[in-house]
Amino acid sequence: MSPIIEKTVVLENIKASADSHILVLSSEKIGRLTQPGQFVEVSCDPDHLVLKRPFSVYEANEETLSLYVKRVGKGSQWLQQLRPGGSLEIIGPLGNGYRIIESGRCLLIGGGCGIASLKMLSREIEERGGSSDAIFGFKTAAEIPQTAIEAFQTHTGTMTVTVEMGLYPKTGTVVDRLKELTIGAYQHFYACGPIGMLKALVPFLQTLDTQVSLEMRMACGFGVCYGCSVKTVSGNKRVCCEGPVFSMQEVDWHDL
Amino acid sequence: MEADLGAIGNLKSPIIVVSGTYGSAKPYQELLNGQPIGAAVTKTITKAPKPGNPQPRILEGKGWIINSIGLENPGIEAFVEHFEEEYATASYPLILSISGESVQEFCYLAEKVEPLSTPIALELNLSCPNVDDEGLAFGLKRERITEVVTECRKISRFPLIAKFSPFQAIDASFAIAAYKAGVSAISLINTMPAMKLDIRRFRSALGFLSGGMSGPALKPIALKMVYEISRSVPIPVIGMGGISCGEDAIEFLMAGAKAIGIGTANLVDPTVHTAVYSDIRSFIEENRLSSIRDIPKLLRR
Repeated sequence: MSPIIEKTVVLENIKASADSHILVLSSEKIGRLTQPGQFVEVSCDPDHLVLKRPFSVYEANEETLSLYVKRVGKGSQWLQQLRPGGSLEIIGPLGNGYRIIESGRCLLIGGGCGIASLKMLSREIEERGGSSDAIFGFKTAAEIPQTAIEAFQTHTGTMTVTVEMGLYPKTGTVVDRLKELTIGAYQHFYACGPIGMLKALVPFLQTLDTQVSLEMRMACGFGVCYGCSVKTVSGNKRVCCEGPVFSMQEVDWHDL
Repeated sequence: MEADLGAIGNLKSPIIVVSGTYGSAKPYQELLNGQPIGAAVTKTITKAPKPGNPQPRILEGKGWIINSIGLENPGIEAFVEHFEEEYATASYPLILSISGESVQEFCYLAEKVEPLSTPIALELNLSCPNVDDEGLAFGLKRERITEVVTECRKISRFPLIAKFSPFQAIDASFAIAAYKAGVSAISLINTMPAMKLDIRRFRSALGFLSGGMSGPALKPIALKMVYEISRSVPIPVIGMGGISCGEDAIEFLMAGAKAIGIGTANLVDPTVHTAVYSDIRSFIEENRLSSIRDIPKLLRR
């Protein structure tokens, strides 16, 4: 299916945590076509910045498309200050999303803004009659997006939130929390977060059915520039085209 | 709106999708099809497959991006083998881009693509960073340009285009050497060698040491080179470097380019070609011109 270029309008801009916002955009074309785990390229301050920026789709339906925007650089900073009525050009849906399994228990593991790509997935798993638990990790308590966590909780079972630094609600990484669970109780794993987090999960989940969504700098987002190539066991793959979701076994983790 | 590229023929539109920003990715092809594109240039193909450079490969600053893709490509064998199926749906003519580390390698590549029937020209990417025994980058000696073009000319039935880096376009001598050796057109300019440092990690901000700069900041430099060199050689110049809208494209045509290339802007909005085309057409109508050929005649000194 061919990606679509759509002019969207900001309907809501919700501050989700100290460094993240949820932007709800009007989208009649892209929203309805988006599958869990896919992403869009978003124009950010086009008068001053050259490239669009890739964002996971946080939620989507027939009329809207939502993005989870963590402040990272100039582009995301500009997006965070947009007011309702502001316009954005987006290209999407892009990439291959998560493979959704109809049966078995799923564990979703998200780090920082990586939780964004898991939201639609958690809803879809529930709608298809499956069940999921979640472990989400953040650097500090200030980064925890409370409203997003609550939204997740409507679709997931047990939800564990942990912070690397600080006391609330629990101190430790997602790996620390994973070790406390009975890994064998889950059949399918979905992880999205910083490369360091994904690498730390490899020893625990590599031999299991684990899908990871990779984040990489991109110029185009639709397979042309090769700016986002990563090494895999079957040669170079483009995160934007063959990914962003890969099987954990497929990725050459030594190279990342 | 036809562009006259001499021996290469007439393109139905003066807009060319430039090398490095054009590929066989299906989603992208679908966005391009149906647009008023005169031709598209494939990513540069080398003799051996190239895995490309380490991440990160893309950076952005004020008005520019730097890429260090490292010419990632499947190598000439795989390229030729899959060419027909991968580019079957393209609704515009294709130009092949090749680059070698030696004259022999260029000749090898030229020979390998001979069996392909659909391309309309062969672009020689002469900006290869390889350094020879005298410490000069491959393309920085005029004699080397003469040699590559002369040898490829003997082998290839395709019209040749020489694509130059900004360093090879600093004056017209490289273009003149390429013309005398038999190229049919000159492409100006490739990305500008560039780097960015990460002062917190005390290293290059790219995975590789340096890369090539493109984007709007390159435009004024490219425009001057196109202006000068199009006056120094009797063959068509294809102008490119930071073109992102109709006004940019018209500037290059006015400066003397016979066709223009869009690269970086095409990664941001793959439908930019339609808007640029329409702006050029409006300009022609508003100024009561009969064709693109009249645009450079408007320029006063």
